[in-house]
Amino acid sequence: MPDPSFEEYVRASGPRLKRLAYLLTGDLHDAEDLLQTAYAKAMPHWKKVSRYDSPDAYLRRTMVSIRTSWWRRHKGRDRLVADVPEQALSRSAPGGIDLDESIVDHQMLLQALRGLPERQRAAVVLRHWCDLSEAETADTMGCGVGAVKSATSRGLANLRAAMAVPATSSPRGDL
Amino acid sequence: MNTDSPDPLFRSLDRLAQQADTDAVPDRMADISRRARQTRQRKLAAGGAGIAVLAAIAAGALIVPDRGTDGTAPDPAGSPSQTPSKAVREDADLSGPLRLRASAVQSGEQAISVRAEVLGTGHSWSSGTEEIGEFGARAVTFAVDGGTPEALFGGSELGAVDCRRGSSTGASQESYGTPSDNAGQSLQVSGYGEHTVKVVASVCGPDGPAELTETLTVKTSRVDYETADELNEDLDGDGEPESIAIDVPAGSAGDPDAAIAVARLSVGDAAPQAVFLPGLGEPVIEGVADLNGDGSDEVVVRKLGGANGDTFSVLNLRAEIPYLVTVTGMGEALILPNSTGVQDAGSADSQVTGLRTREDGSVALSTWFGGDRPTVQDWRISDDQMKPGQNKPAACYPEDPNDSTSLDGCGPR
Repeated sequence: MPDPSFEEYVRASGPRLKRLAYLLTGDLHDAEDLLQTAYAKAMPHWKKVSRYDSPDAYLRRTMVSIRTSWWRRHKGRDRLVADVPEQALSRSAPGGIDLDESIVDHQMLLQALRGLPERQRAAVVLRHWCDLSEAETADTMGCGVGAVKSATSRGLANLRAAMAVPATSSPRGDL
Repeated sequence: MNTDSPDPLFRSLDRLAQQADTDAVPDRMADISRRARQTRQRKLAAGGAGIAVLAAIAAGALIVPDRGTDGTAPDPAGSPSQTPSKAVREDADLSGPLRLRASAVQSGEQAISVRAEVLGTGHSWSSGTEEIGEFGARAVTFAVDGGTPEALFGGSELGAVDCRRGSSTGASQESYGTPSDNAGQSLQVSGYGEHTVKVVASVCGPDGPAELTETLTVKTSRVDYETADELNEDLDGDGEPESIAIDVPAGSAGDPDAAIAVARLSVGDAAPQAVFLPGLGEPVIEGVADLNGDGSDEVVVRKLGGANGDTFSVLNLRAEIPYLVTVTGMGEALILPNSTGVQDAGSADSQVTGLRTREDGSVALSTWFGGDRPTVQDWRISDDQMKPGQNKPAACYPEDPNDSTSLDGCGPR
């Protein structure tokens, strides 16, 4: 029987961690799969994990690790991914959109995220959505701060480039 | 999450992330429990059969001294000669080289037991938590064929294990010093035949330091391999192609957790030369280049995955015995291997992110030491060392840290 406090944590954290999983994977089905796998890894250790300052940090680290592992296994294999689960916004895609200035189109952003290499996507999401520091991001990704800086910088540059020239499909097919 | 952030990218990402709410899952506990159960069953299956066999023939008994009155670990008064032990002898047959792994396994809420495995056979031994108590395993050594014990994790001597609560190597209810998901460290024994392995686990038991001993013999024989990657190319310029195959144990192709592969070179009708590629990962032939300028090519094998990310192995196939150097990090000269055939020079602070063989015979490896850009550096094999050339900043650098081909057209010429 699962620990009741673990069930409670799953219920409470599910929505926010599902959002993170979605940004990390770019696909709703993969996101749920990733999230459940991470929970399943945490469950046997919940007594210990629950005493951490932030169980969410453990789950984030686990999700990034699992995601990287999956990507390595399936590297180079094209995968079909679903479109963003709503009608794309009616605003036409601007050429040369500036991420620092605009709220951007969901569909474009999703495709741009999908096009990022795995580590760059994770770095951008952890730094700019989870609002983690460089050190926290490095801890989550299991790498050095320098690698985080590089991945974030490159990820943002690639996002800007992708948003400037809207793609019609996932350009790398590595999601 | 920081919903008050003025970062426009945060707002864009947050709006996108909210799309995940459209896929609400009312109750995921059933699926989570099932996945956790499957994971546990897989782990048990990996060692269960061996444990049963070993337990059935176990000889001797664990003798434990009196327990402290408060139930906590007493001071480490016991010496190794006074500590309990038990001996087990087991015979096993193994196709392939003998590989041993020691790992720490979280067996209960606060207990870490130690497991010793003969990889590839299902034969394993677990200390069990009843012998470990709540204070966990501290060290495991393997002594093969009467050789020097080799520590695979933790300290190497029981005398160094301090079981007082809160000590750096000993008991702490908050920290055991070994991660619960410890994948273990492995040891490979070269040569086929009968091997005797003495396993010694030094632990902080419920009543202080203890030493658990197992002895087993394993007969090894050649294994069936299948080819994961191969290349047919004229490496020595004689006009006839040589065949290089990267073989993995049958059935493990594509398994990133496969612990070993074999690089095999076939020249004409001569018996193939082979060298083991240790460590985790899916091996692929990355490229061929004459790295040391001796007129014959070396082969670079890339292995995906592993604790330090991808690794690169350089095979010199002209040597009488093909040698191997595994590169997991950069920054200093790498000593080419000794008679064991393997030298691993990892660096936790750097990450190899790309590789390109170059026309002048060197190999360009891009490495991230931190900072905004990776460093691209030339490497050459000279004498018995793989030496870095002069640092040359890259004209461009890998877009994808995991994409080895992205150096094409980039880097120093």
